[in-house]
Amino acid sequence: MDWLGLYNYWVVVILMMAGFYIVIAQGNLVKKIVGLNIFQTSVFIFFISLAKLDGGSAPVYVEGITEYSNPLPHVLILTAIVVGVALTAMGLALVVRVHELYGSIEEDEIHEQDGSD
Amino acid sequence: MTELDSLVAPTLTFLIFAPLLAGVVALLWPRGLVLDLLSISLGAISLVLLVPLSGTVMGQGPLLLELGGHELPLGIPLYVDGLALAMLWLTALTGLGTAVYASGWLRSVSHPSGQQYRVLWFLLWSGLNALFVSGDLFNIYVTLEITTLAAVPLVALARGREALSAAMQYLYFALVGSILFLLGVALVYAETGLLALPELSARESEAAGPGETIALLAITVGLAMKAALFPAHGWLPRAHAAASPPASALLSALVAKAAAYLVIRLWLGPFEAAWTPAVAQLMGVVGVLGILYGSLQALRQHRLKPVIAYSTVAQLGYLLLLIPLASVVAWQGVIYHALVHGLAKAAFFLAAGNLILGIGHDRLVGLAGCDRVLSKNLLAMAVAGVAIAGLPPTGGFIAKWWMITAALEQGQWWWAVAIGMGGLLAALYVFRVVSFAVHSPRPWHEEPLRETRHGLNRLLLWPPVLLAAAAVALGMTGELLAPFLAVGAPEVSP
Repeated sequence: MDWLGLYNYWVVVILMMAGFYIVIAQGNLVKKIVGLNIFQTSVFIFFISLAKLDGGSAPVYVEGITEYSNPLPHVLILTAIVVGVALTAMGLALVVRVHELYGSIEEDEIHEQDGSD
Repeated sequence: MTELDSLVAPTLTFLIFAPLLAGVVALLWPRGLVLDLLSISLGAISLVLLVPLSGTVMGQGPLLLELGGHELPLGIPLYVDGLALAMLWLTALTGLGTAVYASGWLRSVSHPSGQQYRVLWFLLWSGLNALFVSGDLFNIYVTLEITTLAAVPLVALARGREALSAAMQYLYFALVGSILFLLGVALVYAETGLLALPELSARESEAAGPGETIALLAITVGLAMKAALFPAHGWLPRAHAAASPPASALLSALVAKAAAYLVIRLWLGPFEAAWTPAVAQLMGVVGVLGILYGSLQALRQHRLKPVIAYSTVAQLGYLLLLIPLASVVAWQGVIYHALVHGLAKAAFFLAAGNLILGIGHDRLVGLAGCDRVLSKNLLAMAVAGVAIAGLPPTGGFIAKWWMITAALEQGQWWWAVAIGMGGLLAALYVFRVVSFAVHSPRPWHEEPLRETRHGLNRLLLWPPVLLAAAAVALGMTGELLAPFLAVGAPEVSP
C-alpha cells in the first residue's frame, strides 16, 4: 500500500493530536477554543475522506459518469459544521463573560483570583 | 412494518417541536407570566399524550417511525421502546415539576436572567425529547449537541464567578466529549456503512472488526465525559452545585442521565458484537468505582448542594451495571433506577433550593433548626433521599431489588454486594444531611430563620413534595410497570 495514497489520514491524525494538545496545554481560553475547533475539523475531514471514491465524481447526475462519491457524509458534516459554529459561538460568549468578571482570559490568573476569594 | 397508530407521529412531533417553538416564542416575546403558563401547560399536555403512546408501545412492541416516509436504510428513524418511553415520562414529570418551581423561583429572587432561563429550558426540553426518541447515530449527535448548547449556559446563568468558571470547565469537557462521539460515529460508518440503530442491531452477530471496537471506545469515552461518569466526573460537582436550583434539578435528573442513557442504549443492541464479557465486567467495575467514589465524596462535603451533586456521580454508576448483568430483569431494574433517581434528585435539588432561599446559604452546619420553619420542605428532601438510598417502600428499593436479583440469578454476586454498599453509603450521606438539619440551632443561627416564618410560596413548596411523592409511589407500581419497561429489552447473550 502506498503510504502517500493515505496522506489525508495522516493529516487527520496530525490535526487531531495538535488540536487535542492545544486544548490540554494552553492556558488561554480563546486558544483552547481554537484548539477544539482544530480537533473538530480533523474529525470532519476524516468523515468526508470516507466518502471519496477513486475516480468518483461529485454526486450530481450527469450523462456518461458511472461512479459517484458518497454524498451522505458531506450532508452530515454540513450539519456538524453548523452545530460546531453554534458551540464555538457559545464558548466565545462565555469567554467574554469571563473577561468581564475576571479581567483576564488566562487560566492561571483566573485560578489565582478564585483562590484569593 | 406494521401500520402505526395514527397518534404516534403527532405525539412525537409535539414532544420535539412544541418546546422548540415555545423557545422561539420565549425569545421573541419576553413575558414571564405567559411563558411560565406555556411551559406548565406544555408539560401537562406531554404527560397526557404519553399515555396513549405508552399503550401503543405496549401493544405493538418497539415503534419505528421512518421520517418523511423514507424507508431504511435511506431514511432517518425515530425509535421508541420501553427505555425511551421511561425517559420521556421522566422528562415530562421532572419538566412539569421544575417548570412550576421555576415560575415561583424566578419571581421570588427577581432573577435578572429569568428570561434567558426560560428560553434555554425550552431548548433543553426539545433536545432531550429528541434525543430519547432518536434512532440514528448522527441524529443522536445533533440532539446531544442541542442539549449541551442549552445546558452549559444554564450553569453560567447563576450569578457569580464560581458558576461561570464551572460552566467553562463543563464546556470543555462537553465539547471534547462530543468530538470523540462524532469520531466514533465516523468509524462506525466507515466500518459498516450504517447509522440507524435498528439496522445496526439487526446485523448478523458475527465478531466485529477492530474498527468497531475502537468506535465504541471513542463513543463511550465521549459520552462518559458528557455524563460525568467516573473518572470523567470532574466538572459535575462544581457545575451542578453552582447552577440555580431549577437548573441543577434539570441537569442532574435529565441532562447527565441522557448521555448515560446513550451508553447503555448503544452497548446493548447496536454494538453487542464489539465487546466481550471481560470488557463488560470492566465497565461494571468502572460503574462501581463511580458509586463508591461519589458516595464517599458526598460524605465529605461541607455544603448541601455539592453533596447532592456528588450523589449524582454515584447514582449514574448504577446505570453501567446493566452492561455486565444484561438480562431483562437487570434492564428493568436499571431503567427503574434511572426513573426513581431522576424524580428524587430533582426533588432533592428543588428542596435544597428552598432551604437556600430560606436561610441564605447551604452550609451544612448552618442548617440546624430549619426543621422548625421549613418542615414540609425538609420532609420532601428526606423522602427523596430515602428513595435515592433505595429503602422500602420507595421506588429505589424496587430498582435495587431487581438489579440484585439479576446479579444473583447469573451468579455474579459481587455486583449485588456493590449495589448493597452503594445503598448503605447513600443512606449515610442522606441521614448526615438530615441530622444536621434537625439539630437544635445555636443562638446565633436563630436570626435568619425567623425571616422565613411566613412560610414558602406554594409554587416553591409543592414541586419537590410531589416529585418526592412520585419517587415513593413508584415503589408500589413495580409489577404494574415492569411489562412496559421490558418492551424492546434486547435479547442478550452474555
